Amino acid sequence: MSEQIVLRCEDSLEGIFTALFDAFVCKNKMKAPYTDSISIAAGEGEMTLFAREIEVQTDAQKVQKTVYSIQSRLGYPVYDTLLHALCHFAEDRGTAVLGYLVRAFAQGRGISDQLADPFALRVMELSRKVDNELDKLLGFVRFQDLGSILVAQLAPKCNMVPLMMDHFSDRFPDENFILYDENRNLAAVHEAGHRCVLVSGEQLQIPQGHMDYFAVLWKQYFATMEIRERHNEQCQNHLLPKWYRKYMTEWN
Amino acid sequence: MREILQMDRIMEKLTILSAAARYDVACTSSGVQRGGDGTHTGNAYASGICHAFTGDGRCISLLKILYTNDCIYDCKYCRNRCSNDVKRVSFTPEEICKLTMEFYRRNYIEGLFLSSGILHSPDYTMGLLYETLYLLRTKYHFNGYIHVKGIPGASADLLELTGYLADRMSVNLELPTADALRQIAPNKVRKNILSPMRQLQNGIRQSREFHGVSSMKSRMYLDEKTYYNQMAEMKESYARLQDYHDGIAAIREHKARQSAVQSWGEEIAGGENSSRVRNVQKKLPQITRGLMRPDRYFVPAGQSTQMVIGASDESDYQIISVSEALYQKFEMKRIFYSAFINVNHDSSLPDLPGPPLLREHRLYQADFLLRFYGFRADELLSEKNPNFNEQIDPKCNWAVHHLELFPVEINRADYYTLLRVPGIGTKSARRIMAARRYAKLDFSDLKKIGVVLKRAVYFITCKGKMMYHTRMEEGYITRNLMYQERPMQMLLSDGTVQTYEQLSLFDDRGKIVV
Repeated sequence: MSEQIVLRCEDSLEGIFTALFDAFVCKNKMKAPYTDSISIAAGEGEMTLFAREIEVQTDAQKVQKTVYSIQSRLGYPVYDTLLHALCHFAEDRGTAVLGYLVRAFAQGRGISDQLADPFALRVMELSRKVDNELDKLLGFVRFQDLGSILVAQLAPKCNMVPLMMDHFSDRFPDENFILYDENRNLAAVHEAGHRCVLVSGEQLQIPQGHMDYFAVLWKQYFATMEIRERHNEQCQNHLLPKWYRKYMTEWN
Repeated sequence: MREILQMDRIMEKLTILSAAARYDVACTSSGVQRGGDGTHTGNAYASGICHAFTGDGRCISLLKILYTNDCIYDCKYCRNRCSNDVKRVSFTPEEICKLTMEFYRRNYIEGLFLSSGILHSPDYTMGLLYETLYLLRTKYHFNGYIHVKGIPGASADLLELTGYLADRMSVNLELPTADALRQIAPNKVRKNILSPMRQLQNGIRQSREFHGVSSMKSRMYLDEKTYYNQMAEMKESYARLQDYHDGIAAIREHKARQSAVQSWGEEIAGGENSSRVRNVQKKLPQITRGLMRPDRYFVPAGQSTQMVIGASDESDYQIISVSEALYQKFEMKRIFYSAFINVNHDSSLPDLPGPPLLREHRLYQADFLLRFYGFRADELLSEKNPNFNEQIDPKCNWAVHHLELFPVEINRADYYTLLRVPGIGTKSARRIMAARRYAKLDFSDLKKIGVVLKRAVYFITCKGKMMYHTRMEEGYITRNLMYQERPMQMLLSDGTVQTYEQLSLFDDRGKIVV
């Protein structure tokens, strides 16, 4: 049995992409056939016994190289799937994507259909979960109108801001807006007529008590749309789980 | 102060006109994928986006409102019928535009769903709807989703003009049969409902052919005659497609030429292509003939319709037969069913204990079987057996009555055979087809792929074996399927033996006979 290696990287997309790059460097140095002995751990975590741990320094160039080779050798749909999987919060997301990439580079993109393979299956599961949350959140995000800027605050489970920002900059090209993930201190900032920029590490203070008449109208509209004879709270809870409601206008 | 008063008036209108619109079923924002134009607000997302869920579990995707609740008609099931004493209000086009834009900016909604009571005449009302849409698209530059109702009896020209501004249009069928319509909605005529539907269908088809987009029919069951008709049409449309590509080339070259003239003057723009451009330009008027807006799609998200369930006494078989005919002959994108609620307490209408929600649910299930699973209406129900089973869903019901076709071998069956297995949907069927090319699948793989095994186990084999020892017997499988769907109900019903025969306690309307 070969030595286990853990690559510990920063808990961000860039961090994991760098770790993926380093993992391939590591793997290519090995003499024996590769046996999935490398795993990737993002952020602080428990130390593992019987494994060599390597710190990974985030490096923009390595990120670019990794992204480019995934896109050019496996195509955009595969890149999309992997990106979505990496936005999940699961501890093993880096490792799953690494295993997937090792196979995909060796066998071609047909790997995404080989659901009997544990790594391919795991990546599909992760990206499917992220997809589902994304689908819901695109609808459930609410912007507050603060006069010259729209601000949306969210507390998603997965890392949603990088996936959501393109949708909204396409939709509101002439608006200034901010999408802010309070769990990760990550924000997408959009200035009218420009592209979205990701800003991390800054805490956003949203001014309270801003009176918005359209929010009042919306609450009223939301309340009247229910047909009392068909009341079905269970169905509502199923389709709109309660944790989504934290920043939704009609629930506050 | 004036502003506050005005806002209060809008609040009142919004409350009344949304309460009046809430019984409309369709609230989907799906069917069209359109990117933003880079400067103005709005785009559209093919699968649609739900923005909120009300206490009844229905989604709010679009701002669903009536233009006015004033109506000259007297349909018995409708809250806004002219004989009802309710407060009548109307929006103005500007107010609707403002509301839509402001709600949209805050990501409350995906677009607008505009319907209306009939004010003065169908033409007058349709004109108001058109005016609103025109304002929203051109003055406010709204590029999001718009669903608008076609008013039965309005002129064809108005309908066509509106169609170029909307994403989806719908004309309500209201009731499944012409007889019921005559009794319950005496002012509406079946002909006036079907003719705008036909017009929309033809418009959509022409526009799609013109733009070289295939129809959505390919994913549905087609009988042989329809298939050959379509093939004949395709030949014809191929010729049109050629014309279209020439047309596009001409327009593009014409534009390029214009900009060249602007920046470099006539001489450079002339060059070698000029004779070709002139040739194609001659062709242009001929290509655009018969189409009012060659640059736009006509109702790109297709048309839908809806009907009330339970207000008249049709059987489920009649209803899904009507649906099938609408899908086949009118190329509907969706048909919506609305469980009847007697809002007016009208004595001539049935007095149900509550809206027939389960029946509505079964109809939707059957509707999906028609659209995506290749079933026909007469496979699901028949004259002899005209209503759906309350206890198990239509697909399971079909399967237990056709046990001679089962079990199906997962590693070998074709797509449409897989689709007929209860517990396997379109997604998992496609995943199975893809995954089994690499490895033989087993039950544990199926579970991971997303197959609902608790229903599927009775109907499939993996590598030639079933998961458990199963008796291929109608009663046995039905009992098990029913128990899984509602274990509590089955246990409570008697306590000793729960058999299929107990079902005879229920008549086909869901009331207990004893």
